[in-house]
Amino acid sequence: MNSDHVVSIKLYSAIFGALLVMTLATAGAAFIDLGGNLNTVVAMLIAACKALLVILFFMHVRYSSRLTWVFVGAGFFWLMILLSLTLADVLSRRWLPTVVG
Amino acid sequence: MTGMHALHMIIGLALLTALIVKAGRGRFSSVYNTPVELVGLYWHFVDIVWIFLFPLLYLVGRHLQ
Repeated sequence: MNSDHVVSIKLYSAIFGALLVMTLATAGAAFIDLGGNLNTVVAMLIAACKALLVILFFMHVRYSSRLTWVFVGAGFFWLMILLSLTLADVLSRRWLPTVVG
Repeated sequence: MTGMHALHMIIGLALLTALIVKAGRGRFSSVYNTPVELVGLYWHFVDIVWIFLFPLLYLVGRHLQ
């Protein structure tokens, strides 16, 4: 691969710590009623931040060429589209009253 | 979705085991380490999937219960 950059264990540990803190934040925020669909939005925003950390540092994209950035960005954007389409179902379920009988 | 993720993890664990065995035999160096790089990328892809799946499966709607 083209990324010869060696990342220090210290930085990896810091990223790992940040990921743990954000996991606790997601779990904590899930128990507080933020109103409407805000809970889901907050959970997904934190998840996107965590994914960004993993992509940039664990996948070495931070130290890769601009071309890699473009391809990784396109892949991440596509993942967001897939997740949004999945969430469109869950988030719109209570929009219309349920007809019983 | 949890099952599919478990399948990806089992594949990843097999790959990582193979890597550990090969690394123990001194097969990788600063010149040749592409398998390590590629398995690392795969493992972190599985990681990212779980980052999104965990809140979606276990946390969405939790505050309503």
